Amino acid sequence: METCEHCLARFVRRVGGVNGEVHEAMRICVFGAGAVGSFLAARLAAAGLDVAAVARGPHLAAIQADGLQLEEAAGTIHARLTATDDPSALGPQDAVIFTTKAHSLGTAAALAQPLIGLETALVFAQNGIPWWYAHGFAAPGLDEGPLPLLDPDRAIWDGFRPERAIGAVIHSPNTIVAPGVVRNAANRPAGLPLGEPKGGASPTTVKIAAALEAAGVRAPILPDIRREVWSKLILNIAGAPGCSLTGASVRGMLEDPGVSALSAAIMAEGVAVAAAHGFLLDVDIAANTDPTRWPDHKSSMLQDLEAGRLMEIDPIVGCPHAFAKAAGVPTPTLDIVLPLLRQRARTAGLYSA
Amino acid sequence: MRICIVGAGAIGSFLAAKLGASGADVSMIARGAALAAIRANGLRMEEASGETVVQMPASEAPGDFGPQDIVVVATKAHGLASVAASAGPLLGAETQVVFAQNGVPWWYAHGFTAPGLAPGPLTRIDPDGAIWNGFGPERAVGCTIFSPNSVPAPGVVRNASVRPSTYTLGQPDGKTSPGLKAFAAALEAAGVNAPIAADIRREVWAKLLFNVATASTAVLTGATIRTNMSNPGVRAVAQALMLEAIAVAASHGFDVAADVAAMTDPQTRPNHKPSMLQDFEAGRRMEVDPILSCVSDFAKAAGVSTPTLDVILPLVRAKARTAGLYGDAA
Repeated sequence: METCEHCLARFVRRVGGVNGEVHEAMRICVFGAGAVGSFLAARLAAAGLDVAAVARGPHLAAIQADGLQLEEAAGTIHARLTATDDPSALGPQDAVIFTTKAHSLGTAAALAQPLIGLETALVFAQNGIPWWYAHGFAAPGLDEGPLPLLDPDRAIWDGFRPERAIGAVIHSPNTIVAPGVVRNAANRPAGLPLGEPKGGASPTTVKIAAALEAAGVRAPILPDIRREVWSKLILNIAGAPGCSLTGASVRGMLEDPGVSALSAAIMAEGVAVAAAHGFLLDVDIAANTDPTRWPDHKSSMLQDLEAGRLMEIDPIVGCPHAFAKAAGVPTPTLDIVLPLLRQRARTAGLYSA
Repeated sequence: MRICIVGAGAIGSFLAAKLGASGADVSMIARGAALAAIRANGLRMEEASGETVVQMPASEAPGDFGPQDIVVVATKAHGLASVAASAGPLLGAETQVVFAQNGVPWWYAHGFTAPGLAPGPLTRIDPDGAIWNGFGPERAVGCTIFSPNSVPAPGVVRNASVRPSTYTLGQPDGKTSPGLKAFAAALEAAGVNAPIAADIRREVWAKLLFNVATASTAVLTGATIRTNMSNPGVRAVAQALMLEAIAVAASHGFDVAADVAAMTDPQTRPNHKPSMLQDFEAGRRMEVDPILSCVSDFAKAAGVSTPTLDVILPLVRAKARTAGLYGDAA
């Protein structure tokens, strides 16, 4: 314990902030510096925060050699930061932002322990239903504890503990265009709304939110981050399976009236599941299945399939479907689409369960 | 009897080789590399029992052969309109034409009524009536195929079955002309089972309900039939599709009620990819309309509810279209 306190104290320093105000620099580690993680790391580093990244492969080598390059509409940021594939080299942090995919969190829970001190804020920025979802939350058929589809052996739950989790929802489109180079395609300020599973705003949460805001990332602390999870998920729950099963872009898929109709049906089923959990979402399904309102690009799940990366089926589709079964909500369309999607991923060797 | 096989794909090559090897008077209409290979080396057939090389007249010009007793058209359904446009020289007054395609045949509504079924050509597979008017449904002989063949190289056909292949034949009117009887006998003499069905449409449905379920799921998952049926979720989708196809068949008066649990038992299902998935992977146009869309069209016309097919068909069609392998894309 003393070591942790010592480390924390040693790395707190004072720097000038973006607007000239002076604030304490936090030691922040971005764990899993893929597209989103690299974006956050570059922004945080550019804001003068003490940022390290845990990354792998050619991307890691490039960051170590040349730093991280973030291309944005407003210009390009060159960020120099510590990067490693060995978390124990970094020591305890003020905050760790986990930007790995959901299926890597079990491994991350074991690897990340050297980063975690008593006060370390643990922020989880994954797509879809998060692993801590059932902590301190009641819904029909849902029990406190790890979600079987995401955390079958409780490695995430026990490794991080849900009382420490800070949920986050990513509103920032990024792609890695070359090792060490990430491109942000946003036409709006990036957002990473935060929220604790029980709805509080502890000092650690307030601190990491302030750091993100200082880095130009909107990070409101929401009273129930689950609502935000659902609001984003509902936009992916149809596009992800539709694109992955057809190979089409979101727009291309919706241009087919039959696929558009089944996408609307899946969205309606997702809205019904969210409602069973107490979240009445204001979703304009007709507008969200209008092909002209979608860019002609492929859902990230299809991009994963085509690139041979594990697909995020359970966080985005599997968990809502399991919630529906547990709550007695009928999902006739998902009942058909989900098994096909899972087998599609299995055939390609890209299903994690 | 004079027999001409149109199309040197797997089915056409198999029939031509079998009939040719048995001494039947058979010729082939082929194109491209297949035609060149057959002309240069004959048609080679690889079976479990051994290899056979058969020499036969082959041409891309039907005019080279003149009127036949039997023409077997073994192209895919979407190739029929162009065959209809060029096959005239093969067709005499008495010539019967056997159509060896998968799915709902173009002549289906000839002399047949069902709820909501319009007389004449099926708009889905013969929108301008080119097939109907080109051949005339009076000549048509239906055919359902249980014969696992592949073409490993141009002019070479491989039959993977240890059992004799079965080509079930039948006229749309249920009658048996002397010519059809003679053709069935020629096939039997060549070692091919060729029963003549009392109602060929029923045979079409009996095979179709299996294809509807296995082809669509395989296209979407990329897996073999056995792998899909080993996945309880996919198997449930396949069973639902079969039951819907059975209900559509029933609305047309065909009782093809089957034990769907047995038909989707992974232990008894072949560990191969259905031809629609093979076509997708090879970049060939897919038989989405004859196998799936026609069944959906029949269901809509007859008021039969097909909730599973309503989800699956748009996905399969969109996948085919995205790959440029659907009718309106290629």
